[in-house]
Amino acid sequence: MKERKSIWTFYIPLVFFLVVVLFPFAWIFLTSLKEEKEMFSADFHFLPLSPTLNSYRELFEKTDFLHNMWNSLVVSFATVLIAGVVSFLAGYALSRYRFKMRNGLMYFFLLLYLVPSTLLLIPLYTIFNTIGILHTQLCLIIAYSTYSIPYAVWLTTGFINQVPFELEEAAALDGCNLFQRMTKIVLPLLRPAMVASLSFIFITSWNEYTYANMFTNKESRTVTVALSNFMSQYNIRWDLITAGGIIVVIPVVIMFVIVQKDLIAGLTAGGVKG
Amino acid sequence: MKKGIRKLLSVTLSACMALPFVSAVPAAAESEKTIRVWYWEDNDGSYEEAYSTWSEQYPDVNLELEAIPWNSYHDTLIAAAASGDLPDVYKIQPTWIPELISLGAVEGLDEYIDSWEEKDTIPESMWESARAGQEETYAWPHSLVVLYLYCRKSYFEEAGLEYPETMDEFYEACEKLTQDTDGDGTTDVYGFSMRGARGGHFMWAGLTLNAGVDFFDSEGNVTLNTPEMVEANQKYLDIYLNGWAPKTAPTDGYTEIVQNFESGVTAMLVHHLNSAKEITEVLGDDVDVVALPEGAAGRYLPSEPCHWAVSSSSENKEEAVDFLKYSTGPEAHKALCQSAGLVPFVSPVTEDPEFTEDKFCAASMEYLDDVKTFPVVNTFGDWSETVWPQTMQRAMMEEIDSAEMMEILADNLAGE
Amino acid sequence: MKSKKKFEYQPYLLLAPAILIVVLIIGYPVVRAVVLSLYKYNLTDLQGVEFVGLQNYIDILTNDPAFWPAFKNTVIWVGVTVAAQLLLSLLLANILNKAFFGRGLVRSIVLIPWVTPCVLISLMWAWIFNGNYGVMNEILKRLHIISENIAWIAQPDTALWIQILAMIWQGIPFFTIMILAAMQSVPRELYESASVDGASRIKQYFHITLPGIASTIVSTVMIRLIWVFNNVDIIYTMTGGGPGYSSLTLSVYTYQQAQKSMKFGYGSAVAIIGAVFMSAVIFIYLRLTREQGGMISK
Repeated sequence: MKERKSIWTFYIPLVFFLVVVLFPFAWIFLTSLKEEKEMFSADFHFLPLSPTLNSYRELFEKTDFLHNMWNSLVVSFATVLIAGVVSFLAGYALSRYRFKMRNGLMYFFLLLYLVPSTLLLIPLYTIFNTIGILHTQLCLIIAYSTYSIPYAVWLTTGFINQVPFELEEAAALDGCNLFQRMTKIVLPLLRPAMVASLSFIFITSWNEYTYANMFTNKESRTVTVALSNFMSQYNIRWDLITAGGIIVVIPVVIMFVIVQKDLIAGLTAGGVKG
Repeated sequence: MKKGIRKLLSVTLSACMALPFVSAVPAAAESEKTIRVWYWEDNDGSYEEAYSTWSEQYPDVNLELEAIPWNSYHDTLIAAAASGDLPDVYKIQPTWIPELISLGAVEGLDEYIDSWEEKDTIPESMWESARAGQEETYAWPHSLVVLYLYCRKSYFEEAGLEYPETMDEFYEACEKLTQDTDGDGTTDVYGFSMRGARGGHFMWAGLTLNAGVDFFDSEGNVTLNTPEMVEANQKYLDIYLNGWAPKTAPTDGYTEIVQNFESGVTAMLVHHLNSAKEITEVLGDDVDVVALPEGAAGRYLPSEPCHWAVSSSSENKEEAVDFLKYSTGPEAHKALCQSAGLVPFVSPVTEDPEFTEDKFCAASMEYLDDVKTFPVVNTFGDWSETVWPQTMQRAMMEEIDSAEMMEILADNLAGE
Repeated sequence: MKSKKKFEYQPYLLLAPAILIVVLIIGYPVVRAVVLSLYKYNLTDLQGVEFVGLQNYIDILTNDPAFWPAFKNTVIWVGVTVAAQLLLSLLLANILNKAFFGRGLVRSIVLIPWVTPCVLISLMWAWIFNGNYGVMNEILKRLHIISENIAWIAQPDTALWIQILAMIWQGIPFFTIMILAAMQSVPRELYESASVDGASRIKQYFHITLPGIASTIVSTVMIRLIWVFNNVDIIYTMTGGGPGYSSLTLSVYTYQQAQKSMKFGYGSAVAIIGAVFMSAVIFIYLRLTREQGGMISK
């Protein structure tokens, strides 16, 4: 594309966004390199006086942070799998069919989000404890699926609405059944959109704290809980929090770089052309 | 009566209360019993280190120590109690006792205590705190810290001040230590690290209730709204309103007040032994500690004791009590006080030079027999968690005055 | 669209897994919350549990000094945050939709705030706006915009706004990626033929792009309304709703009452009032946006 890019509508806003996004992390990163004394020193330095990697060393050697990250990854990917499939099916139904309870169901999914998770904690604890999966990754996977399905359903419904139904009608004439139409026609066309929706499920699970805090133990603890546990009753380990804060975003950023390509691929392949 | 409560519970907290699952766990080997213990700690591994001698003394009983992070401890405990999944022994704060009783989660310990020969090694004040004003004792003394006043030595020397002994001297120090050191017209050093966020009621109580008013009078009426208290509270508020405390004070919590003191932004700080190690690491010798100043009615020294509770559903209550006795035995108690930074209260550990010669520990123990613990009434949790910080902050913002503040605090404590 | 007259089992079959999972897990707690809201039910005093009918609701609406300030803050918190997120994201998505060197990397970088756990976000922003050591005060002082440190988080007139800022920061990437994805789905031919007809870029944006992504905007705004409304982590970690009531929102208030003060009955009632209010907002919103491709069919 040969577009002229004006400095006012393109470069300045772009730089502005980059600075705003990166500044907190740059600051956290600089802080993580400082010695604890310097962090709260009365005379202010932007750059660390004597940069040290001690906080990272301690994070890797003395805490279970990597194990916690692994737990988060396992839980998040499992949730993506379950919630992704389930919500695609539901989204297809809500998009392609007109039936009596359709609107009611759309509202129903939405209204579930209005129940604060605070009120779910104790009942869920009891339920998970009863069926014997408390403190396992499974209970988080279930809880997160519940939490992400409603929105993922809305999202896929909207995306599928944009795929012309004529394509499917043509395929149906060629003898494709429902399952074939979904996997061979709708899904490929929805690739960029599904990437977005699955990323959503992943990130929601990755960032979740309230459930993870209550439903995990030392073995199954996820990374958000590990981070907040660097604050104990009488102690905040700023060194570990800042170092952990940097480490925790790295795998997800890498993932985004890969996913990014997919989004663009969806574009250059012609998107939804029909 | 008790049955009726159970019924109600099972209706509202779901039928899962009385699950058969919970008891289906016992390990295959009958001879080996296991005691599960939940606790929170500030220094990772401090409990495991202190209780490492358990297996020598009780080779037949496994001790399973499980540290639960402080952030989720209370929530986890309540959820576990509601679903019948409590460990045999768990650490509690005295203010949780009413809710644990009403959940039927704690075992009465009077029998065990009365028959224990060494119960006199623990001071009466700790037993009283464990009793928490209830008819029966449901808790066993475990740990203690006592509030004291940290003073930045060099600031006091420069200002030519002695460490405050009385409240008048304390307020004078607040004023004189507040300084504009570089002459740019803005304050650089504040007299006092004031805490307006949650948890600030400890230092507030230590610096106002010494005027002679307590939470309750002897008949159990709330007395916080008496004129003496309104006046004492006004003086305390004035620390902030006069600019003797940092402007961040309304939302400052534990970390912020300690940071401010360590970095030299403030000259005085009220906290306890737990922060001593960190503060000396930063300030070295440039810090001293004294007991909280004396008010019109002497000193009011708030303490934060923690206790052990035994789960009412425990299958190994005898062994659980053995663990309690072990933990307050001189050896384990001393080891824990050292590894976790706590004030010893079990004699003869209290005489141990390791503690008496340490200035922070000595200041904590100076008036050990007179330390106060907060009342255990079922309104106190809400009062301290939510009502106190909100009301205090509103008063600091001058939305309400001292009299209105004390009226709100009194009403909420009385449950009106 | 398919619209046969006879009963179709297929949609129900396809929807069954989603409904089952959700209802099995959330159904019971929701019913429990509604029941509890009619009781005086304090965990610290289970002996005093009693059925009080609508008393909790009456107390909250007429006799609770914290409720109306919290309500007002909620409206500001949700309204300002979502509006700012939408506008900034439209702008950002438009920029990122252009071809330029390093676009893939920039797109990934811009998504970072989204993957940052809320606990970390609030600590980070509290650290930046710290009244004594915060880098923001230092920068503003060096630029001579302020002369002395401002206690951003401890002052009633700034506390809520710092948290809104943090929340906007957190929410932009999600909005942007959704809009960007939707922009890919707008058929390219439409732009090509518009260009042939000589329509300006701005005109194309308003006549092709916006209508093309309208349904995504509608659903994304809606979901953000709910999430921002529900968010507790950021405010609770940063100020606990203070100072006073100045950054207290209904969700934080629910959390305080139910989780910290153990007043389950009262807390549930606050939650339900909040949920009813939000349902009304969503309902009106969906009515208003029906024409723009809202997902509720007529």
